[in-house]
Amino acid sequence: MSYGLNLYKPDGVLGFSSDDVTWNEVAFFQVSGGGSASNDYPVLYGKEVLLVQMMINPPSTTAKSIAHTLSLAANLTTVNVSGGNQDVYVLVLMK
Amino acid sequence: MSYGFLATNNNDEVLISSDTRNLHFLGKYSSPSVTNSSSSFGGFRELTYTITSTVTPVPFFDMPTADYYGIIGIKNTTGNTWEIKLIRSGVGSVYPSLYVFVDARGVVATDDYGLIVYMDEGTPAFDSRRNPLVVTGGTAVAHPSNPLTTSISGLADSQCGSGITHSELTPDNESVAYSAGTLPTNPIYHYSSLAQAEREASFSGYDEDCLGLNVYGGCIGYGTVDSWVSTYWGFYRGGIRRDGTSIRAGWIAVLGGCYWSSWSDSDLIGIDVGGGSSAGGTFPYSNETINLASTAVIVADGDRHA
Repeated sequence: MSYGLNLYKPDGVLGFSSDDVTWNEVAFFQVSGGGSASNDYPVLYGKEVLLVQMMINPPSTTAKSIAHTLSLAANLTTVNVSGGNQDVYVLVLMK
Repeated sequence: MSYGFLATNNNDEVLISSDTRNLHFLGKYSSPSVTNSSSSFGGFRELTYTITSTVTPVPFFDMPTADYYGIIGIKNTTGNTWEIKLIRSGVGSVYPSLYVFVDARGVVATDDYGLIVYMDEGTPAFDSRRNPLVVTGGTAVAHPSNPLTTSISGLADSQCGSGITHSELTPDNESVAYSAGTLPTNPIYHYSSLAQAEREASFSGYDEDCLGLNVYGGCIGYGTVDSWVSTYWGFYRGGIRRDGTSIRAGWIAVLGGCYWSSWSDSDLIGIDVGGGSSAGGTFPYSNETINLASTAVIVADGDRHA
């Protein structure tokens, strides 16, 4: 690297640099089963966005567990969550 | 951004920003409890990892065998205690290690120097002392809608006589191979198991007896007609497995069963003299395949976060 950022650990090993890639957490919120959410994050505009959901309770083996539908609105800043019957955590990531 | 801190990588992707939070390594957990299991149809194990975190954890896992794995639940049980549940296919006792990441507020740093970037409300967004997450690759996987590549055949038609020890419902279908970039020596994965599928097949039988004369298909005397059907079913959840340098999305059998019914009817020289029916077994709670939307897989280097 002739320019950029290098961050070293105390033992001198490179810990993080501008050659790396990561996903940054923009938000982490909960949506209930049968509920919905529509949250706006201006920082997402123009960035690559990844929306992840994790069920809070393991899907039952005695009931249908429908995941929510996650989407980024046309304005590229609003995250919409709806349609599921399970409580989930939604993780909004960008890079 | 008119003020603050922003570092981007060579692809102009955000690495560090005072507007967002980097994920940092909280810990590695290798001793789960087996909280549910089955040996039918290939088998599965539900593994529960209990961790302590002041903020919501983001779990990754390694895949120590060629079986399928997935995260099925993450729950704050009390205070700062969290239960993270994984499932894996098969009946083996080799379990994955869980690598947990949280934002910088949730990790204690002990070193005396490094770089800290703060959010505008004063909490850390990035702290180089807390082993920030570095991603090595990722992809989005889609599960095939049917866990089985061949139709279910050859099972007993009467009163679920084949039980649930046969292999007709063992999942054998999987997706194409997905590339997730160049995998490190010890890749760890974030993948949430959402897909669900059910498959079933019915087998029926019929028997007709005549105590008397059987004339042109009709019974002159005492005739009985019996019929029966057995429906075998399996229930599956999505998982991923490593296939060389690729990832495939397949299915993990988590439940199976069978239900049956039978009917009988009798007549004497053409006059109905009675009959009956009976039924038994367990019914599937759903006969749908759902949650097939593509699911993200994030890959990181486990050796870098250990």
